[in-house]
Amino acid sequence: MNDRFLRRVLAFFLVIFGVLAVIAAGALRYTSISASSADWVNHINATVHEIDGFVAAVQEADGEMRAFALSGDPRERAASREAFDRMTEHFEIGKALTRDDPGNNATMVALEAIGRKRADLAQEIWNAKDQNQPARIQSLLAADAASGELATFKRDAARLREDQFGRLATAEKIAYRNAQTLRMVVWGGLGANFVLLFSVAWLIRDGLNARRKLAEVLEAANARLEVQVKERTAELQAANESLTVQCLEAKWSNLSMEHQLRYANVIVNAVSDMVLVLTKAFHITRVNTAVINTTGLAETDLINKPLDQFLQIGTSPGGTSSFEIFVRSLRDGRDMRRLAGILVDKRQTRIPVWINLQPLRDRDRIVGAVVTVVRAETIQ
Amino acid sequence: MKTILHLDDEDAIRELVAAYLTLQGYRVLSAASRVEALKVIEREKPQLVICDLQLDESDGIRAIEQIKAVLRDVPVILFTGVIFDPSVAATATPKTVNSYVPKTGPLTNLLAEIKRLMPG
Repeated sequence: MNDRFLRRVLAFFLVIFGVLAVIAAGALRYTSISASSADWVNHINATVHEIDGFVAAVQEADGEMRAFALSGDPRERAASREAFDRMTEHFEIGKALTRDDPGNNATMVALEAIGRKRADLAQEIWNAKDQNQPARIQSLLAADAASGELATFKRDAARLREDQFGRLATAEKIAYRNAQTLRMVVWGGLGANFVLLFSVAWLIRDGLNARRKLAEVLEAANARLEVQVKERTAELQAANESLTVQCLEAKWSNLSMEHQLRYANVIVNAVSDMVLVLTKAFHITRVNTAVINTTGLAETDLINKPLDQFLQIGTSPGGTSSFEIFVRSLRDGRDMRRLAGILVDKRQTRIPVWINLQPLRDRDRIVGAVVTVVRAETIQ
Repeated sequence: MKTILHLDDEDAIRELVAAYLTLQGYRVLSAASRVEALKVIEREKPQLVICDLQLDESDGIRAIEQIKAVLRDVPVILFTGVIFDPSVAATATPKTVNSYVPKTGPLTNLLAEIKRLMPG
């Protein structure tokens, strides 16, 4: 989301900078055009100034020339000459200004030619005055009036001037249009940039909102996860405790059993009578310390051996062997007391003994027998 | 947390019972002999005493009498595997003993008796 959001903001800013660049380029371009246009207007004004200048100079020179012709005052001739000089200067400047405009330049040259003719006419009148030839002066002036040259000069100059003003008006129109275009570019660009900036602000606001919502969602998910982890941890802890308790119970069971077995052995071994535990087939499964001490045999020599290998039981008066009596007694679940017998020890010594038998019951079932043997001489 | 004094001369039994009762939320003070138990109750006041019957240098009955002389109202459980028949033990144990729990049973029996004598 971040990459996309940043890309969009960046794109907006690029567009904003692009619009600013267009505005700047347009402003520069129209400023340059405006400067050129101002130069052009100045040029036209200068040309008009020169036209006005040489027209005024010709009129002044012509007036002073006529006044000199009447009065002969040298100051008026000097003034006329001076005016013709100014006229020449204005023509020179005017021609230079219209150098790149062949039509107006040609008009300017034609007007200059008329001006020169006027200067030549003035020279002829001055000469005629110096030579005191009034008739010639009148003739020259009459010929000039008849030619209408001065009127032509004024008319052509007025046209040239109007043409310049026409150009000036066109230049002003173009300048106005350029200014309008520049204004439109600047204001349009600024407006577009405002819209773009507003869009960027909106986009950033949306992005921040989305980010805040995402943070809230993440926070909620984290909280849920934390609760789940706590629940799971509690479950695991409870399971672990339960397992530990079970484990301790199992250990306790083993310990208790071991303890009881050891204690039972201690008790059995503490009995001074010989105690032998038998299977139902009269094989020895367990003996106490008194048996080992009396017979001198090791426990391994006794275990799993038949009882009659070590213990001989006398025959009953009816001829039934004692072992048969043992078998019946065991089958019937009856005790047998004080049977006489002989115990054979390791050295094959025959020891007279009294024998007791008691069936060994595991709940209701007879699983074997316990035989206790006592030396006959110990019985009182 | 309630405190229990456990007197038994077998290390393995003391450790196992302490682990079990600690897991059940009790604080267990263990003693290996009568003398050690008397030293413990000089500085601590347990709310219950568990005592074995056969001890190395003495027996549990004597130890219980001496403990009761100090902690008159504290209940005592005789916890032993020596007496095989619980019905006999119930009538044969002295009055100083509040309860008899055979070691041959599961530890939950001991816990149940502790909860009975020391509720809440």
